[in-house]
Amino acid sequence: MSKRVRSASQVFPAGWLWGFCLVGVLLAGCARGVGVPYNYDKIRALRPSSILIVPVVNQSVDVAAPDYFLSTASLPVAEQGYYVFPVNLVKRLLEDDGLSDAGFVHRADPVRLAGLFGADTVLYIVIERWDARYAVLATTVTVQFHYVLKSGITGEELWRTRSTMSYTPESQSSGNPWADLIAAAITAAVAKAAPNYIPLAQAANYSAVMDRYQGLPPGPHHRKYMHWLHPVK
Amino acid sequence: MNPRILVSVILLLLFVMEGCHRHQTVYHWGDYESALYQHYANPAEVEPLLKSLRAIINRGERKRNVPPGLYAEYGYLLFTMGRLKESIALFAKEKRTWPESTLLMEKLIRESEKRLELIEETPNS
Repeated sequence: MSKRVRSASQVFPAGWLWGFCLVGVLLAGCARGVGVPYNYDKIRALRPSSILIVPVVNQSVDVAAPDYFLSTASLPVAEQGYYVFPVNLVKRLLEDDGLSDAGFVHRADPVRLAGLFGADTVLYIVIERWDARYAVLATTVTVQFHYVLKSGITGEELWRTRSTMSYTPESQSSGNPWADLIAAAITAAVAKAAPNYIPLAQAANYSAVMDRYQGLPPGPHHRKYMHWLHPVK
Repeated sequence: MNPRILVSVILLLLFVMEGCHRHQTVYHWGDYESALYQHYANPAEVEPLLKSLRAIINRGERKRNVPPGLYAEYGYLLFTMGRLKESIALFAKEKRTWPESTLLMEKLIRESEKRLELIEETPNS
C-alpha cells in the first residue's frame, strides 16, 4: 500500500495528488446525478405527504420478480420523507377485493384507488427488465424499472422516471485461458442458479428516488422539506 | 510516517465516510426487506416476518424511529391470525404516529371490531 502511494507521488507532483483527492471527494458528493432538474411544479402545488405503492406490473419473464421487488420498494420512498402505506398490507387488501391483477390495478382510476386508502398519491412501478444474460465469459444481471407517480386528487401525473442497474461479476484473469474459461463457467452457473437481483433492485430504487435532479423531492417528514418548499433565493 | 501517506489516508477515510453517510437511514428498518423477501419466497411461513417486525418495533420504539407503515404491517399479520385485540392496538398506534394513515386504519379497526363482536356473540361450543 505505502509502496504504491510513494510510487504515485514520484510520478505525479505533490499538487497533483491533492488535486486527484479533491476531485474524488467532489465526485463522491455529486454522484447522485447530474442533469436538468425535473419540473416539480405539480408536486409543489399538491404537497403530497403519503404515497400508495401498488403491486407492480411485470414485463420480465421471471414470475417471482414482482413480489421480490415489492420488498425493496418502501425504504427509499419513506426515507425521502413520505408516509408509505405498508406494501404487504396493501397487496393483501387489494387481493381480498379481487384486485390481485397488478395490470388491472394500474389501469384503474387513481382517484378511486387513492380514495380507498386515503392516499395523496399512487406510485405505479413497472418491471421492464429483471434478467440474467449468459455469455461464455461473463453473465450480466440487469434490472430496469419505470416509475409513475399520480395524484390521488386529480389523477394527473406528477413525476416519472426510469432506473436501470446492471452487474457483471468481475472475472480476473489468472493468466491461463483454460482456467479463466472454467472460472467464468462457474460464475455463470452460480448466477444462473440464483442470480441475486435484490441488491440491484435496491440500488435502482435508491437512485430513482434519491437522484438530486430527477428523483422524488423531499417529503414532509424529511428534514430538508421546508428548505425545498421555500428555497432561499 | 511520510506526511503524504498520512494525508492520503485521511482523505481516503473521509471519502469512505462520505460514502457511508449516505446509506444511513432515518428509520430503523432492521431486516424488514429480507424478512418480507423470505415471506414472499415462502408465503406459508409468517413467523419469521412477525418476529422481524416485532424486533424492529421494539428497537424502533426506544429510539422513536419506527418506519412508517410497520405497526400496521404487523397489526395486519395478527389480524389475519385472528389476534384481533392486538391488531386493533397496533392499527390505533399507526394512526396516532402517522395521521396520513387515519382513513385506512379506521377501516381496519372497524373491521377488526366487527370480527371480534362476531366471535364474542358466538357461544363457545
